[in-house]
Amino acid sequence: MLVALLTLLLQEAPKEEEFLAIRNVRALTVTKGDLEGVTILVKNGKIAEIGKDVKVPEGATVIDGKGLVAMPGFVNAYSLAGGGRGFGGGGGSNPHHLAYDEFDPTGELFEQLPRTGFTSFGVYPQNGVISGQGIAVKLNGLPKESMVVAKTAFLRIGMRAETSAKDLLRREFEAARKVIEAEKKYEEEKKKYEEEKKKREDEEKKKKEEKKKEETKDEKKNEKKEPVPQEPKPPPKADPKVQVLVDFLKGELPGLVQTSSAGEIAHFWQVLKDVSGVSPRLSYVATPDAYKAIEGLGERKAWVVLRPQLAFAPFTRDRINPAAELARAGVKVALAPAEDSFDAYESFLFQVAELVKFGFDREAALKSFTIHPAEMLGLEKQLGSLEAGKDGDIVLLSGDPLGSMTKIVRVVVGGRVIFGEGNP
Amino acid sequence: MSALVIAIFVFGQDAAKKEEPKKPVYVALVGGDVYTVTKGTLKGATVLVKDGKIHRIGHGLSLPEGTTSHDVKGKRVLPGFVVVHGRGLGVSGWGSGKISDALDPFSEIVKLALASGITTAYVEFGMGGGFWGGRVASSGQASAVVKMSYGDLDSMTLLEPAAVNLSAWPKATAAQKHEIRDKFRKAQDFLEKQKDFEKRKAENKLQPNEPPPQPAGVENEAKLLKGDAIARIDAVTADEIRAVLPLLADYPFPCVLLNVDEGWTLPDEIGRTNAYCVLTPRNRVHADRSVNRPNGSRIEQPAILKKAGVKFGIITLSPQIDLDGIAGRDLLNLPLEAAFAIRGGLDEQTALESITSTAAEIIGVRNRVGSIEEGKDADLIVLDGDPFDYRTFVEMTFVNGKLLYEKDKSPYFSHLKRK
Repeated sequence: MLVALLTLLLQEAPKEEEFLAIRNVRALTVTKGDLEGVTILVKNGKIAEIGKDVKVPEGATVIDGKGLVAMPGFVNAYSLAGGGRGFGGGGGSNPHHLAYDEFDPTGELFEQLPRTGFTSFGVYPQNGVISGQGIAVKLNGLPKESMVVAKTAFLRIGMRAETSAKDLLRREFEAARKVIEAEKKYEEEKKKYEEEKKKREDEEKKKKEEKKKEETKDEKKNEKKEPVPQEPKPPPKADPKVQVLVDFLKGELPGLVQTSSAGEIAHFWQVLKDVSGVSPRLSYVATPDAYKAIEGLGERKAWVVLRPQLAFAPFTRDRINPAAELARAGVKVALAPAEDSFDAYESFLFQVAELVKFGFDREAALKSFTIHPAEMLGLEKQLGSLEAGKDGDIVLLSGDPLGSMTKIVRVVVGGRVIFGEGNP
Repeated sequence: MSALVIAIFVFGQDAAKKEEPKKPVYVALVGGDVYTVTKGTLKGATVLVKDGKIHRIGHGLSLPEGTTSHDVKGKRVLPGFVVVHGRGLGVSGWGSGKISDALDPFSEIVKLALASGITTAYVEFGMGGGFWGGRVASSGQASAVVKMSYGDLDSMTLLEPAAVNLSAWPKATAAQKHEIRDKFRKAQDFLEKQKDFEKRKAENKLQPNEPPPQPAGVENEAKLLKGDAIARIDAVTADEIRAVLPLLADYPFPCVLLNVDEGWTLPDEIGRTNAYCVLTPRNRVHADRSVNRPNGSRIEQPAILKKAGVKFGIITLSPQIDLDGIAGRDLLNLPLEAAFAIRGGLDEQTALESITSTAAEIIGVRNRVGSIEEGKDADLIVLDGDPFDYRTFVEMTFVNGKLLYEKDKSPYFSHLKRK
């Protein structure tokens, strides 16, 4: 009896809860507008509450946000940070290759990344047309396993405007499409079978009840035995490599398609056109000339990852702002640093500011390194904006993120400070 | 959850759209001098385009409601120029596989082609010629007929493959020539067997389960003999041309002789075979016996060949769009090449045909382009002067009825005003 009581007490002992609060800060939520003088409360790594009158529990880590600006941790949807050199050979189709296997977050870049404001990355596998599945990681600190947000976050396709690449994609997509078709057919047949089974059972029940009233030998003899239809067999399990493409085509596994020209995007559309009855969740990693394909991209309300750079109209010095043009046409734009080097990450906000200076809508610009890349990785439920329920990944800046004098003063990941001036 | 994801992120190309009967799209070019190429020139006439095809040509046409009308009074309306043997127009460098899979619908070269009045071109992979001139032999790789429909990949490829390459023939050894002849013989055999098979099939006299005859390695040769494909052979000197003629005499098939310089020495022999020629009137090579070229080129060649009934297409010294080197040698000035043929005695009508209708015939798309006739594709150019005048510019270019180039709105030549 005493043992039982003790056990009960032990079970009810509260877990150690971690709280972090940023007080009196200007919060750019990205999805729910800008809030002045609010408190952001993070509980056990997740944003619990944002508001003016938030109760901060005792023992919480408190950061004074007065004069500071809070943003969600920045997301780079298409990165090689910690990525491998790629798997060699193996033909062009390797949907089963995992960036996770080659991911190595040790090294100087990862030591410097916390000060850049970038907290989450989609790291992609290289090589081959269907290169494999990328990994989504966060700066949670070593070991590598605790950095993984999603081990198989997206499919990476390296598009090429060439017959061998297009034929490979057509072949692989067709194999996956057949599987989807077979699944659909099976579902339909199963439904039909269930309906007819029920109908038969009801009829037999009725017959039995009627028989009880008038049982004659003749009726028994004349009773025809109707052939019982077979239960439809489910289709055989797909080859695991094909299953990856099935998930991609069904929209369950996001895809990032790297292209090296606007023309290659058109070639990918040509391949996709032949695959009916699918709805993949696609983002194009595009070059500055992507604005040339603006008609097709706008029509499809496509998702595009760009580098933060301006382009020139061919043969001229007339500036073109690819991000601004595409955003105006209804394209969802994500911006990723020019490359995975510390310099590129450091200059990222300045480059975004230049794009805004030359016409990129400010709101779209702020979304381009927060919620938009989060969506492209399929992780918009936990990353990309300051909202209750999302991960406690917060960047504190000394001023407007696009201001030329602004510095990043603190970075919080999962409610823990990973970079900060002075003590947290 | 996945259904929700799919519902939210379905993209335009797969979303079900309400089926509405599509309204026809009309475009009209009004009041210009229309060079039909096949049926003379209509002065001050109108060309009406419906859904990308030439619908009507004439005077005083009534335009349907909603027609986009362009006033081209005082200008000349021509079919878009056709490049009979080109490089780099929409496809770059060396590639493998099909040309249609390597086309770049957003290439600036395509825009420059439109600015030069070019709307259709036969292309192969590879960049040849360069700014030092010099023609390039047929490369033996993929071949395609491509439209300069900027921005629209799907409508760029008209025909692929577009030719059977027999360039090995003139320089082949006797043994190699024997092999090639053998292939044609086998193809002829196959075609006879096929004819016999079809005849017996129609009379129900086939053996049980008799399989139809197979071409077995001579598909191209069979296509040629049937007239379903066109061969291309480099035949620059008189000797090389002479080497082809016996083959054509024994196995008549549609054939294009490329880069012909010395055809003027044997025009009647060529005329007898019905072979087409591709000429570059401005190419000058002197006679040089030491390289087995006893004749050299002559500017009168096009006129001489015309007299013998030989059909030809004309290309420039550099069969591509060049951004460097001497101006006037490349496809930016295709009509000037044809103008030199006129200088050598060719009549203007044939000169025009050599870069429009005959060029289209040589590359196998005469049924679609090359003249302004009802039913043909609306690939039209508007010129501000005589096509063979060096001062003339292209003002507008339409491909499939879409206005893809306007001189005033493009950075290339908008600053050059005609006085």
